[in-house]
Amino acid sequence: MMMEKFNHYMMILARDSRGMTQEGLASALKVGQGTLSKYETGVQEPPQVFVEALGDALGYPEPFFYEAGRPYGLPPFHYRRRKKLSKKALGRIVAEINIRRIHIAKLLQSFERRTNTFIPEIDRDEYLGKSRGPLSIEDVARAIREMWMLPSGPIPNMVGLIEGNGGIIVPCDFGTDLLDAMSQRIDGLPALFFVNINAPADRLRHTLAHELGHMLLHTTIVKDDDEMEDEADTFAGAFLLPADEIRPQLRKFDLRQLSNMKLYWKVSMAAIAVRAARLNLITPYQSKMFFMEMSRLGYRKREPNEPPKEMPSLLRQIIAYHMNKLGYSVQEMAKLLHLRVPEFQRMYSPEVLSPTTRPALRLVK
Amino acid sequence: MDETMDALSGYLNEFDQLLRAAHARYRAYKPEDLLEHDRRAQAACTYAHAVAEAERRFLGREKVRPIEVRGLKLWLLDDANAALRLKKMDEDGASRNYPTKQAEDYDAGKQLPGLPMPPVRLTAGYVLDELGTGFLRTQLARPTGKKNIMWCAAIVPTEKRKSGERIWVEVTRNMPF
Repeated sequence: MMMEKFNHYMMILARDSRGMTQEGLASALKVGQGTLSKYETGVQEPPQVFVEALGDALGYPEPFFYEAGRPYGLPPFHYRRRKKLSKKALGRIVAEINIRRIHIAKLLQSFERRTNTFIPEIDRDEYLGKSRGPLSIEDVARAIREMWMLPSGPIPNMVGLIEGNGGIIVPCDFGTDLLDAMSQRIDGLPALFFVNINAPADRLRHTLAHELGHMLLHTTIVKDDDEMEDEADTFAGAFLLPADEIRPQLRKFDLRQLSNMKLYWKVSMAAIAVRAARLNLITPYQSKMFFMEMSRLGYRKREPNEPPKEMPSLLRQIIAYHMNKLGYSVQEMAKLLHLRVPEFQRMYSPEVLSPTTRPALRLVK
Repeated sequence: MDETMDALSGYLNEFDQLLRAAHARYRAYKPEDLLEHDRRAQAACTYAHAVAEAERRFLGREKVRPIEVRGLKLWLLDDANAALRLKKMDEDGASRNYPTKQAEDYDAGKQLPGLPMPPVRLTAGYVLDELGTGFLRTQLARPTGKKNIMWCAAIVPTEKRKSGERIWVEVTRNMPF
């Protein structure tokens, strides 16, 4: 017998997370779409027998639908995606991320984090008095580097930097390469970064810097979507490639120099070229020719000389803490998160959280 | 070409290895140092490492004689009746920079002091990828002067060579009429 009230938001989340339409689910459950709609909108309370069938159809245990809370749309989500990503696919991913956020909130109830640093929310009005003109994105990038006491030069590990400053990075397989990441800051939780772990390492670093820009700049003030994306991109460039340092290096702008810069900064050649264009260090013609050459060489999708992949470790630690220190079994973990065991393993097994390309150890005789 | 390459077959792997080692050694410099090098500095450093590696391998070896003609470092391979110099080159086997007088004379097969006339004069070189930072392959070219190349062969690295396959393939570009 369920003690809690049926949460119709969780029903929508469950359906969206499976990429099903209302019509499709109604057909699978052999009920009218009108009935389903009323359950989803909270107009009617579904009977217990329906909730059991719903769980079977969508692959969630029954208590999932009695979970408190509600999903968040966009914003407070920020995401870095390509325009080709369909609305349906985006809806599926947003649903899965909402579910993961609920999981993290639960897991953090028992896991105490020890960190004195944090990802601040930049209030532009507060900063106005500190500089002569309006606050620029370059100023913000410089301020964060100073606040986190980062020396000049490349950021050695973007993942470690965010985790070390209070963010949680959740490695995800979005099932598409059209979306790189989503980030979210909701009261009571640290800044969350859901990243497509299949993305190339250089892209992942830039994506994280981009999402960091959103978390710094767009949680107290929400602007037009294109403007926010442009600001986050500018922030990522300024944070990873400080203008004063790259200016002398870009006196020569060719593939060889960009390849060497990539090795040093661990940022893609394309991102360096975009940064150079933003800083007016190259002409629009140079930029155009560069990207034409990159296309010709097939480097637009995946560039050569990828830096080593940076793997998040905090979420793995949180799961390990529950299982090793608190004694949760896999079944109990699945029960805690209202998942079925295979799904828990798909989302949170050590292989998923920290995939490695290192060869397995073998006995040397 | 076949005759020369076959006579050199005992050395080809070593040329490939030493040029790869020189390139790898250069690429292992600190990224901040690589950033400050232009193509010329890169070629000069790689050349210095290649010469040093060649000396480690060949000095004291029978039928291999190092000679230096006005700064041009050469290796005489007696059993192949060939003289050889090391150089960065393009896919056609030609070098791109402005050659010194002795390099021009060497390529043209002219008499050089200390260098006996009969040996075939060859260049062992490496080709870089489009980025100018990755090693594409090792080549042996037979220059004929004025940047002309009689023939050019690419060395197939050991790990890419199938059993029984020849160690080199001809990559001479057909000249347009």
